[in-house]
Amino acid sequence: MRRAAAATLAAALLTAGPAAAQDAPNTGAISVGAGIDFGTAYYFRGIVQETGGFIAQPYLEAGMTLHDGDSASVSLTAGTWSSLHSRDDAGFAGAPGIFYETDFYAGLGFGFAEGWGADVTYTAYMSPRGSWGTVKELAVGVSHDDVIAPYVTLAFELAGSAAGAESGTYLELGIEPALPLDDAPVGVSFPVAIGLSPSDYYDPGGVNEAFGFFSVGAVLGVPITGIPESYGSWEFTAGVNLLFFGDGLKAVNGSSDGFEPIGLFGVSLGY
Amino acid sequence: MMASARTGGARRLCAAGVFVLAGALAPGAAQAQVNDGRISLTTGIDLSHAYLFRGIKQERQGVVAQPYGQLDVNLYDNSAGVGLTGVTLTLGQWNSLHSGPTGSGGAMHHVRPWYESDFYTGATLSIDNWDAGVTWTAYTSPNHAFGTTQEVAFSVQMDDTGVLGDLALHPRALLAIETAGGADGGANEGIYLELGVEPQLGVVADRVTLGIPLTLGFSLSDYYENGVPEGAPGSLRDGFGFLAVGVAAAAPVPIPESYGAWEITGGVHFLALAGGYVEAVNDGDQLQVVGSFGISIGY
Repeated sequence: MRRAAAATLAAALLTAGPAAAQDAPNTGAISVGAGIDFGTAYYFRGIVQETGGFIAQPYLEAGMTLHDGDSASVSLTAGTWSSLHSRDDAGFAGAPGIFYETDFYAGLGFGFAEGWGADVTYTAYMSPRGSWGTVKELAVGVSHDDVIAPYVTLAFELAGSAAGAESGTYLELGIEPALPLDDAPVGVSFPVAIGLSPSDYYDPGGVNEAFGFFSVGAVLGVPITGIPESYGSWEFTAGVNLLFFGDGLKAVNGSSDGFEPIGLFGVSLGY
Repeated sequence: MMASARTGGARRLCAAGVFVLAGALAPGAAQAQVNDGRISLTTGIDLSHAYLFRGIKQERQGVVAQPYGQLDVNLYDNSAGVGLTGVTLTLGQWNSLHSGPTGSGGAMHHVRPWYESDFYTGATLSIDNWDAGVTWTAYTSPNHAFGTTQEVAFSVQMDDTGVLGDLALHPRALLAIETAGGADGGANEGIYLELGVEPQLGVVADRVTLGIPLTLGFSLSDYYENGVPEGAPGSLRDGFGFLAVGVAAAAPVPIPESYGAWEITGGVHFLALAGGYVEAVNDGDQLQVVGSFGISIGY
């Protein structure tokens, strides 16, 4: 459900490489991001969604800079993210079989002095083919732009639930250190995340399990240099993510496996 | 169900299910000056009190809000030349949110207002003063009001300004072939033909553009039918669907150039419906009047 948290790696894919959203042909206050990722499996915050078949995850996002001052900046973002699966399930009659998920999100981002940032995002997670009911969520995040790029995300489910019967609260702590490859034509980073349930997010059998998962990965970003600048900044990304589940998520996922490796490959555009 | 495929310009040609050529009308709808690249973005929202898709009633109560976003990639540009002057790839998404009955019931209670969400992609060739395009669209209903319909549409549009000047008609045609599902809810996938013109007029020192869109919708095969086998009692199937005529206005909004070209649009449209099926799905009405208002950003 949604790029920023899909297997905790997709967000890293977007930031691992040197592709910038504001390049020469676009000097205005609006930017566009788009791309598609392909994965060997799809876990949302550790919750299994699909482990077989072909998985493609296209997305499109627009950002608008509302204020850009010396000590603070404000931007508005809206986008859509989808997960298309070759393996069908029993959705509602007439549903598009491959359309497992489509999310819409909008939010505000704030930049402050000394590399601090904050954001608030509303997301509607939907399944066009009817695999599950819609989940609405409000998430707030804080991050710092330094060598390890730490972040904290707190997400409140307003309606529906990603797992279990009750709407819950999700907490994610993470870092994403990058190798200092100043002159190299590639970017390499190592996303690490812990997913926690302060309240009913992972609640198999109605009992809250505080620890959800731990993940660690490596992401390689390679700019595509053969595309003219007027088409924006393009980038190949590839990565691997290792997920380690707690007992609560094992129960939610209906599997005794405590470990899942996921490979991802993608192409992205920043304009 | 959503509108016909785009036939040129930077945005979809539908608001509230009638054909408002706001994108083609608006003087500010072109790509923003701060964007010199090959990628352009169009987004906006239209508001109405009703939504008819190609003459088929979807909603006539409450508020209808239709937000959308579209990305265009100009793959080839030779606008100063002759022959093939441009190739554009398009990707977009369009929605219809309802406060009326179709947006307030059903099992999907968490997403009740989300009546429709469409995805489309296509390509347009510009050849001299002609635009020819092909578009694939998936019409889906997040609140499960209808099953998904997939469609391939071919369109052609002519800019006849060089021939007729201020009297230009901007003629266009659209042929839509359903490849899965059906807009009419009938038993068969159908083929839809649409013909239209839209003479335009600049008023208020050319700051406001008025258009008079006229549209004809036809079923070439099973597009307007109720699912009862042909010849059986209760079978309804029409060849002619509707005639729509209206007035549409577009005016630029004074926003700093770095935020793109904003415009407001508004219009009122009269749909004359003929035939058993089309009248039946419009509650027996032979005339529908639809007003709409919108705001859009071209970047």
